[in-house]
Amino acid sequence: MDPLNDSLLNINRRGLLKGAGAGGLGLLGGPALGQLLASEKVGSHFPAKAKRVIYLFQEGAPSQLDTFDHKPGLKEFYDKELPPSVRGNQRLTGMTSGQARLPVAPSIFNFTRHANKQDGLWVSDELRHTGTMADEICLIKSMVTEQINHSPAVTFMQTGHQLPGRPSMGSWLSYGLGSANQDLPNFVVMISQGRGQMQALFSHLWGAGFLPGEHQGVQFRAGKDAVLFLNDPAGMSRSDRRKMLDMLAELNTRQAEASGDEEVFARIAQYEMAYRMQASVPELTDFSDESESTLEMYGPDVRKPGSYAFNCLMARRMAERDVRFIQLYHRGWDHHGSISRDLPLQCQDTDQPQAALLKDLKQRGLLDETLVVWGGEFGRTVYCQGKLTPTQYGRDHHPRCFSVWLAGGGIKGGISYGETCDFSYNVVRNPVTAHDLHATILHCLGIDHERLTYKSSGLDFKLTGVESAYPIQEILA
Amino acid sequence: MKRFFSLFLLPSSLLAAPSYNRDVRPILSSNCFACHGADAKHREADLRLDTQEGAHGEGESGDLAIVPGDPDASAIWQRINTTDLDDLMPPSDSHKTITAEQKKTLRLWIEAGAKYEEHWAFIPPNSPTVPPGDAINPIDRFIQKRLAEEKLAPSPEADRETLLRRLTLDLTGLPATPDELDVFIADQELGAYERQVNRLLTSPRYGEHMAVAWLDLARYSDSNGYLHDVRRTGWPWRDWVIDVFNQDMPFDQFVVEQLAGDLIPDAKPSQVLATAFLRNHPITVEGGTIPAEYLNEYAADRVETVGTIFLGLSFNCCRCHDHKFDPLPQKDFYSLLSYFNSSSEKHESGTAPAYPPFITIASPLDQDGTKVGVMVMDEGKKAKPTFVLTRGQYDQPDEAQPVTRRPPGILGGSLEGEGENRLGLARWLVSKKNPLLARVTVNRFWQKLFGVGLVESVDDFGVQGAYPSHPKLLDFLALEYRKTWRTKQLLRLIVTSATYRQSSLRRAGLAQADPDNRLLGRFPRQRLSAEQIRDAALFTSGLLVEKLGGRPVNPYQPPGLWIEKTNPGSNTGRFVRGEGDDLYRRSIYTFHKRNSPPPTMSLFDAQERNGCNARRSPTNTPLQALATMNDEQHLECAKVLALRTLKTDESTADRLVSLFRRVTSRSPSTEDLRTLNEGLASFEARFKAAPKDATALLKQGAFPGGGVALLASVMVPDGATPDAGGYAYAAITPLTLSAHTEYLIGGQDTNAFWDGDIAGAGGSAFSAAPVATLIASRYAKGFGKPTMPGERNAGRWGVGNAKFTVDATESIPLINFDPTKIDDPADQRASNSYTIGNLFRVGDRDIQITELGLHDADGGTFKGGKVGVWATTAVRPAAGIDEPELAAWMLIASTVLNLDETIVRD
Repeated sequence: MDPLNDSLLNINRRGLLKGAGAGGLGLLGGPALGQLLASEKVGSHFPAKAKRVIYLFQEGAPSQLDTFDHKPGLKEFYDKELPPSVRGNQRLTGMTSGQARLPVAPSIFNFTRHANKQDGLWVSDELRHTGTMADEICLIKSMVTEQINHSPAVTFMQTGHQLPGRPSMGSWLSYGLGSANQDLPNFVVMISQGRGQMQALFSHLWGAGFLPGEHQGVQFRAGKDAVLFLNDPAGMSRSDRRKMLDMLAELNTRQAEASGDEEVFARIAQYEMAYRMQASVPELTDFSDESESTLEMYGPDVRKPGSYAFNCLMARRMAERDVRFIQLYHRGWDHHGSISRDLPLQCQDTDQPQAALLKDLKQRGLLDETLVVWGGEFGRTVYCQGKLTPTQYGRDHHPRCFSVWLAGGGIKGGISYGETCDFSYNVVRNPVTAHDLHATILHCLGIDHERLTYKSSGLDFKLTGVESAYPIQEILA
Repeated sequence: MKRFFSLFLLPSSLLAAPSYNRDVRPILSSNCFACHGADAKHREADLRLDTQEGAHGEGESGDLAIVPGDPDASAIWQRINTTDLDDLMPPSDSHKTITAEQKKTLRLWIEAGAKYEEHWAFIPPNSPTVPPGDAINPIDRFIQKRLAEEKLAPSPEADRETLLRRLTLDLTGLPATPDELDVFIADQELGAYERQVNRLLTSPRYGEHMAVAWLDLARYSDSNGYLHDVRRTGWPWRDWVIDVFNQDMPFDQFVVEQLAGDLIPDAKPSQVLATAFLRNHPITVEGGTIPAEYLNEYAADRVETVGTIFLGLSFNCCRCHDHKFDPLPQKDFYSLLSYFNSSSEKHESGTAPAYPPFITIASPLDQDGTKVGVMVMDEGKKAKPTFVLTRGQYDQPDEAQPVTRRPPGILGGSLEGEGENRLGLARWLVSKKNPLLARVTVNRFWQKLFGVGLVESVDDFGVQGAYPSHPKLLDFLALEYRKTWRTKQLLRLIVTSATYRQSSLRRAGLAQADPDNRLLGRFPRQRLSAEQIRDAALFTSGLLVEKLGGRPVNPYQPPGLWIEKTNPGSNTGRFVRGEGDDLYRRSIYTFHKRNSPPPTMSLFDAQERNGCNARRSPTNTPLQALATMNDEQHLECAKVLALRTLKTDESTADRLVSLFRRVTSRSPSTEDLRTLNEGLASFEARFKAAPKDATALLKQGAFPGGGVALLASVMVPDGATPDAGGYAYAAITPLTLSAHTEYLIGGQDTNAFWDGDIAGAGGSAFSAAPVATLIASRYAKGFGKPTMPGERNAGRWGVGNAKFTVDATESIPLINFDPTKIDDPADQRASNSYTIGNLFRVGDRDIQITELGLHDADGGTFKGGKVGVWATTAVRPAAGIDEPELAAWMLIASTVLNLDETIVRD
């Protein structure tokens, strides 16, 4: 029987837990049970190229025109009206639908061609460090989405559905693949604040939806309490905690023997996992074992907890420790007002660290087994929002094309995929939907997206929704 | 979150005569109906297998899909067994498989004539015959009959402590007190248990507890969700729900008022308030959002919510296409939607606490209290023309498919004589024409008590839903309920059954025969809800502040959780921890922010409430362990529970027993006591050797000093003129403060304490002076000679008078003026409306205070403010208890609060 064939999946999982309990009765919640719980998983459908994902989500939607979708020809169209034939009947947001004109705003940034496995990758000089990794990167220029406002669009990218309440991608993978480590959560979320207009984040983005709650993302936060409630109170020592847990296990075990409820052993195991996390998480956030050269590679912000640089290095450290899904959010890309002023600031915070992350993974031999994804929730308009001058322009939301890149396990590096029109307004070749992207990511992890399903409210739900979605074969390694 | 089995696993002995509804439909539905079902657009080969006519008739190919009595002549039998991959059904690319066991069922069914049955849930419940037997409670007859069929026996009654703990938690959300346990144990008269049931059903805690599940269903929140997650004031509706449960309003009335209270002739304000139910959904005010899209979204949310709660049917499929499994065409969705899209509601922007239509109303639990705006429903003069939306797209109405208001076709037409509006719909829902409402509702109550519904899929009574474990019992209960719609009566019937009163102990044999305990041969042991875990800890420690209703409160949560997820357009970015009572209210009153729900609630599987939810599935994670070990709230409970224990004059062993029993409702065994005693001794030794650690540990929580008992306060009036030293006092009734005791002196409206707020100095500048400086400007004037840290006698009042200040080096900013407790440092300016204060400790003699006042060294006129003294005596150890001892007990209490049996009920 195929273990991922879901109609029986829940039963299998429950059966497994039951087996664990029965076997564990004599073990007093010892390591065997902990191991069993940690490794509880569904398995994969075919050999996985990647073991884990690092998703560098750029929240607020970076402009594709000023980062990766190079359109030098637009210079000639400066301040000219966007041809109606290009715009078609595309709906506009309420923010620009009232504008009298929709003048084209070419990017003011220089682009450089970085050698890759094709004819080179054009990248904005604001992302020059990222550009140096062109040989690893697979750029998708032809992402499309249906959502034009932030909250549904981010939710769509992260959960496959525009309304809140569905499991996030990380939860699906946690559910599907189980945990590969003993001491850390399986799905971790880290947030860094940007410098532009901040759009809200929602805890439902890393929620488990209808999946069992243990698959929800665990947010790691800047500062001392990296995981909520991680630290013991002042005045309590490690040995006090150990003593308390020993008492707890003794009392709980007696109770389990009386009630016959094997879930008690699962609880004991979770307390032990909590105890291990109290050691493993501070160890994870302590960079003192990193070499100076590594720290330098990520840039000066790496020493500031909560910065994107800090979180990128954390991501590498988590990858080393087999965290399954590492989700970063970097806020502040919603550049309605001034791309020329604000986008460089965002790039300054993110460019060097993300390039360093790729390099660092590569030099440690981890990139082959780690899938790195970079991108936002939609693109931005070629026409200017607000006042256009040669040095100043803003861009509105644009769902019809945007750029996302992938690198690492399961992906062909050094290539581009898909093409937009001369105005970077419409996709002219190989459109990729969010669900295609999700299917591709799952594929790299050895999962057939059609078969990772969960029954809720009488329906078999999957990350990739009801319409057809396909892994992008051309970019798979 | 839901997790359930789509099949009720049956012993094979019962498969001799498979029933279509129970055994066969689930197989066909999962494997065949997607292509051979109700959805005509996606039907393959023109073959329907969901109706007898379709399945027994001739298919496109001329083959007969099913030949009654002859499996081998039936095309479906051939197709599911063929080895030819081109012919195999279900097709290999569907990733569906029919198991050997299921094939056997299908074969037996075809052999027996392949009789179809209408889906059980759409057939009106018929009064079932109560099986014969000795049991008095009819529930037990149904349950025991089914157990007997499997040659199983029910379990004996649970012991009295377990039983009262279970009952009290189930009906009030809180555990039983030791006194209540003792009374029940001692009551050997007939009817002792029933007396407990009646007592608990009349407790106002009952409504607070029952309301929680309703808030999940009704997606209640204190913020709007979406991008800006704006604060809303919907809590009078939450209080209405609590009140209605306590008053035991008949459920049919409860439904009608929530769906159409505004349309009831001469509607009372409370009936209009009830319709906030339909406005509880998330609302966006994001710039650039398109009004038509979201107004349609809200109406669709109402359809899905009403469908799930009152019909147990999932309508979200037929929003975009005909339902593939249930007979719910897309038209049904929009027919229902047209009841809900004709109010005066508009797409909004801005951060108003309520958007029109709303009423301004006080909480039904505090009718003289503050009135706030609560969003409700109204109805335009004419129903808005409504069409089927192609693929559910708001901007693609299919004008060839207009809809009229009507209930779903499969469930029959509207009630005659009722208007075609929400009131008509509501009355139809509660009428006998709707076969689902009573079943779905009693099933949810059953789930509440037994953890799993008689129909496991509480939110799906459709074709894909689970078949009831006890169909006749479900109908019996539904019909009983429908007689009066009195929920307390229904619950009384269930909790007085022997089935409910059974022991939860595992028994040999039972686990093998019925591994999931669906036959209820024992009571299911269940983890408490998030709210129960926190409330029980507060209750057993004595900290719980019981007050019905009111504005939402902000108890402890780690700083920064709100601001890091919020954008500048939001008014819920800044979390300001509450003070005093607000820290110790029941969890139903905790402010619920959709984009960042209270963390200890989420960790224990509470809902985000972005949509209707009928079931929380309990999980077991290390983060839960961290929360109950290290959350300030829980640690404070441990500390106060320890103090409470130490205040008695008992021996150590007796104290351990009483602490343990207070929390778990049982006395510890000898071994348990030994474990606790050894732990206590080792902690005591450890803290005696390191008393500083004890002092540090005891600082958890605002208590003492959280304003738990205000002893005296005074308003120093605006414009009060300070004396030459810069002081202004107001007299209070003389107040004696005890020796060796800590108090808090502080003020509310702390404008009064800051230099910049002296009138004449501009009144606006917030001086970012260090906390210690601020603290030094609160004074009490008294008699006697106190000896306390930082005492400073300016000698201004003559012999015997003293002025107390708080020593800055001892200062612990207890109430909100702790910058780390305010999320956004830039917002500290706004914090000047919060109470600040500090502890001080009286020396070895009582002192008396006669005046309280303010001080400002710069002179000028005071803006005025409230100054008070709060008792913290409850938590100072009695004489003879030292901090190491208390700290050791605190860790023992924390251990007991973390026990499995504390967060579970047997």
